[in-house]
Amino acid sequence: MSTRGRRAHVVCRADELGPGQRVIADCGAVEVGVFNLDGEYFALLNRCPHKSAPLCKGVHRGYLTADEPRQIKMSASKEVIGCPWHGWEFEIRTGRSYFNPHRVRARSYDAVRVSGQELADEDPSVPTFPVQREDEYIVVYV
Amino acid sequence: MAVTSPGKDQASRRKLVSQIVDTDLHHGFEDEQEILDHVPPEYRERTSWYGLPVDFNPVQNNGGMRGGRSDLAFDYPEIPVSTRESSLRRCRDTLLDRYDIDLAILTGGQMYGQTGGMDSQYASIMARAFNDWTLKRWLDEDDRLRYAMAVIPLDPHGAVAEIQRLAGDPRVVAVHLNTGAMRPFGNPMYHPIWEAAAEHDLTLQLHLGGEGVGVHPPMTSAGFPTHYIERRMAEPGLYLPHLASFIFEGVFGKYPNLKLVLAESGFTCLPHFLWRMDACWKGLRHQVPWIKELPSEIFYRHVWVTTQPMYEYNEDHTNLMKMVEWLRGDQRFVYASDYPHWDWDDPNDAARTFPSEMRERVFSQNAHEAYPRLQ
Repeated sequence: MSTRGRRAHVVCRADELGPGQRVIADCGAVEVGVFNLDGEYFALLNRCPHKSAPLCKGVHRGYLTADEPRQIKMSASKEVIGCPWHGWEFEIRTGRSYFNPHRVRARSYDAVRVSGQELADEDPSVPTFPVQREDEYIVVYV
Repeated sequence: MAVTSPGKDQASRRKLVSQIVDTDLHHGFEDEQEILDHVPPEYRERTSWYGLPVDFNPVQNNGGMRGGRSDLAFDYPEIPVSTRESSLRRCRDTLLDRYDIDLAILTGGQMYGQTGGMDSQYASIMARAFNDWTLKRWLDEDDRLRYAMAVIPLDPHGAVAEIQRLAGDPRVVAVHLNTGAMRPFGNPMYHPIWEAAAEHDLTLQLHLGGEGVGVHPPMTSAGFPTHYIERRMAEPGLYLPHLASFIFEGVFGKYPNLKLVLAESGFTCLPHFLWRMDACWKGLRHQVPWIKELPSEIFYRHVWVTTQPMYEYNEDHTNLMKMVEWLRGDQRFVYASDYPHWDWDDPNDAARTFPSEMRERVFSQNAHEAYPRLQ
């Protein structure tokens, strides 16, 4: 299951990361924040490109927009993390910043939910983690 | 699996300077009951019944999490996060020990609203309680801490008495002032306070806050704006009238050893302000003939400015450094973290902003000049 030369890290059991929750995971050389957005999983490097703050410990909120002053709407699909230091916003699904989405980005990683059976049978590269075949797990590729 | 703070990506940074003096560390209490023990018995009923009007933010909004760093809430879920650090333990873990800060000046936050209290004498009683509580609960507990004591400038007699009461404590290094005021601080009504501060070599530390609270006028001369970001844009206007007033009312001529630190004003607004003062003085000097030199020269002798907030630069670093040069930043800047605010400046990151030859001055030498009692 190693994709694009990245290494798989088991982050937690799937039932430990419910919708709207996040977990900060130690993935060898780096820390990664993994988010559950309505059953989909997304991972960002826990380091802000601005001042190296622990980005994934920021404020998790819906993406707010307005076409007219005071007519604020919350996006149904986009969610952002506001960095704990200085508040820069990054879209959790893509790592793109609001103010300069192409040039200023938080590094993102693939995160998926897999069964313990798959982990045990198919992927000897996954680092040691007490995996039960009947459980499901969140795996991030770093 | 989940890991605990502070996280390997941010931790263990090598200190880039030999000594770090942090000139703006906001501290406060978690529970209002804590301060009651320090309030004189005859005022306890009033304080316990009506509470402390501690909030200095009539905008009812801020950045980050209630103005504080949300990563602190993430790592310490049991301790509330706001613009004041209520836990010395968390402060040690995440600032003092982690960055190996040598000295830090506590600047509070919970008395900012009191500066505009209608009953200024009662506000002075509250400031005194906060000072006593701070000395006991923070400075007695950690020998790296120093204090910018709270006073209520609208009660000059009370402020002078409080300065005289605490001046014998060498850990008290400054008198803390908020920008919210009835008149700019050069006004003669305040001079007894500056005289007492000068007598004891206590530096004046001017920090935003208190504007629009109680008897204080709004934070702009156009009234109250709607949004926090607008109030934030008004910040240079919170400080500059006080600075002009200190200079043109002749305060620094009257008290030649008086020193002023502008804390959290931002420094990029200052070069233009100094040029404007100098230019205007050439044609208006006859109205303030006691000012016998370029006003900027008075600034360069008596005024220092904190490095934080440093968000005001674009990608071309040379622009920022031009401003630093115009302001003689190598002599005038003192490092400040503004911990635990959401827009704080990490000391190592701040150190990297400046050329290596400036760092020792900005991180300690200038602070020792700006705060002569600091040791």
